[in-house]
Amino acid sequence: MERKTIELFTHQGAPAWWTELQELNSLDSEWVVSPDFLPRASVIMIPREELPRVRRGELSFSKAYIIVDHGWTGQNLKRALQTVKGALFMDVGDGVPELSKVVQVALTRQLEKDRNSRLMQTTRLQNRQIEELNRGLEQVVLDRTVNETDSRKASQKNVAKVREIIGFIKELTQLFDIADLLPAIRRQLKEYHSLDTPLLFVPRGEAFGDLYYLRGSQTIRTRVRGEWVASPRIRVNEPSDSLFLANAMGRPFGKVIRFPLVTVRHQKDVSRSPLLMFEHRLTAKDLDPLVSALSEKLQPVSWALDRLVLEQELKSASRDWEMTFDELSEPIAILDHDGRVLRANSHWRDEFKGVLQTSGDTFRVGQRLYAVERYPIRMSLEDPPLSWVVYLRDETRSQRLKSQVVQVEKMSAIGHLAGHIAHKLNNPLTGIRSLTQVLLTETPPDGQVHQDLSEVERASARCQGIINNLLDFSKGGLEQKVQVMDLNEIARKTLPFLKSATGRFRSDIQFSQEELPVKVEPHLMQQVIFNLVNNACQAMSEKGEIAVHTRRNKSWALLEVRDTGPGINAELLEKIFEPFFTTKKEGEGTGLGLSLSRDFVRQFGGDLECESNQGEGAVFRVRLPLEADA
Amino acid sequence: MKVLVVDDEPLVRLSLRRALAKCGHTVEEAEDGQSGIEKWKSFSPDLVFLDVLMPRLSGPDLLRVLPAATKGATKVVLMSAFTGEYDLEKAKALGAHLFIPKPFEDVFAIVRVGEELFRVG
Repeated sequence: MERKTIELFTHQGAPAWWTELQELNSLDSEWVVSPDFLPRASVIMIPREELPRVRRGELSFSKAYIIVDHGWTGQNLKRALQTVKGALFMDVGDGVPELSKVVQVALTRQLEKDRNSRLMQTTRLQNRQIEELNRGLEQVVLDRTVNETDSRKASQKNVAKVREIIGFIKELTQLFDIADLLPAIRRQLKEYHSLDTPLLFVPRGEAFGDLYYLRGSQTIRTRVRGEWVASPRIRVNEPSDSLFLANAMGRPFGKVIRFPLVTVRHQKDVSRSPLLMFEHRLTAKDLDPLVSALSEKLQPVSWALDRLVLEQELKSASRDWEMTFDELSEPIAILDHDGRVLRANSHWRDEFKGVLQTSGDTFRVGQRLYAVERYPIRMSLEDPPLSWVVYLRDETRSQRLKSQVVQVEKMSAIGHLAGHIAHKLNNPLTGIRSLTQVLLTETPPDGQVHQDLSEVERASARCQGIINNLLDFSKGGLEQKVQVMDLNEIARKTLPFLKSATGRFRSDIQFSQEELPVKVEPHLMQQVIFNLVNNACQAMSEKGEIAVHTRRNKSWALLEVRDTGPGINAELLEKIFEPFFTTKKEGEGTGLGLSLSRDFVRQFGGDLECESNQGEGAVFRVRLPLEADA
Repeated sequence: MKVLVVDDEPLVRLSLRRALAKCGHTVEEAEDGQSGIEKWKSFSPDLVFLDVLMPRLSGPDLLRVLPAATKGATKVVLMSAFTGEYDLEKAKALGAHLFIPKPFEDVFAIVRVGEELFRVG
């Protein structure tokens, strides 16, 4: 090893590496510094194993040692140490005897330090590796923990979501009205601020449906017309949807998102599905999470809606049915097997309760006659009936009509018969009267025979008159022409037929002095007078007076028929001219007399009125326009 | 004047015959249309009172089948109790000259009507 001359510092002015040197002394080294042989300004480094020889004075310094010069920096020293491995440097100073000790210590320390440093380095490396390992492990643990937390959170979230949906379903099942559905949906979706309040469209018929929407907390329903075809897909921002809602609601609509509520009943025909709609301000990226969140809730909404619609339809059907049931003009009821009324419409009366016990097809209650129809209600064909639907049809009127038809036919037959008889009688009567007239000329006018023959002649003349009237009267079936005739004459011809009716009563017949020419069909006018007088007589039970007066009033001919019967109360007064109205017993009156009479009189340009107060008799007044004297 | 009364009602025939005879006329009777034609042919009446409704042959039917030669200038008065069916116009269409509805008010008036009809010609 070559010698190096190093100028060493003195310990008075300690350079920066002095402390390092101090530490170096602690290093384990094969080299020791022998102070005994140190020139003044040099450090001689010797291997440790050579040290005893140096001490004994046997060792030369042939081996190169580092001479540390004063003025070296720490860097120089370090470099030197690296170059001369294991060399030790030291401050020689002024040859202080203790220096060797210091060098020795320093050397030792240096070696130790080296060793420690290596150890430290290794340890540090190992530590670093361990740390890395640790860190990896921690990451793993951390990662795992995070995952676990996440999944726990997620499952908690899922549970919460399921709970929420269950809660929602529960809420939906408790709804009774479609109107409550919208607030429930709104509560469910309150977190979606870009959705406006929900609108619900429920198709009802082919071309209309109900639109439900919220106004405040209230659900409003409007009937909407027009074709409405639902698609099975969620539809977003379709202009026609906005237009439809705008038309229905009468306000402009923005973008609309539309969800079909596919119900069990509409599975086959989705186009008839109800629709849930929202006006919205959603952006494209909001849409997916919303749709997935909503679709979970749509199914229960569909079910609830299905149920509500069904309930509503059932309710409405049952209401329709109830109304139909009640509006039927005939009594109808459902009776149990013991005849107890389970349900009955408003026309059903207590008197009908015995109807199941009767076996016939008709059932009579007081004056009224009902045709009975019974329909058994059974669970199956083999079972005995549980109950009966009993339907009563009021036959009274049709029975009465039938009897009226019979009556009219009878009258017409009698009329024909009367005509026939009158003809048959006319011939011999003509002979009787004519022969009497001949015989009268052949007998002395003052004799008894002449007088008797006169009686016969007069009697046969009367007979002829009656027969002529009868002929006129029975000509109802024949067309008679309207002709101008004296009303007095018509009345005069009619009254004899009423003898049997008027006979019991005092009568007061007063015809006007002047003729009352009216343009009528005489036999119809006769029927009018006949009806009025006959009615008046029938109205009076025992005693009374019947008055028939004719007079002229300006341009009218008047005929009044007055009786002293019980009169007609105001309520009946309105009805007496109605066809088929009668107060008479069945078979006695047709209820047509007054109504036909009024028809006839009106047909001739006049009118028929009645004045009456209860208890004061009645006046029927015929008014006919007078014809100018012929 | 020779008068034939054709009517199925005996009393009508009798009364007319008596009234006519009383006024100086010769009267023959027939009880239905068929015998009326025979009497017409054999009697050659100036005036015939003819009823409408009669058995076998009615008055109008008689007029339809009566030969014009037989009828000649004979005046015919058609009588009916069934006034609805016939009137003067229809009677004239059948070849009769007058229509009288039955019943009569006065049999002598009928006689005078017949006389007048014959006189006017």
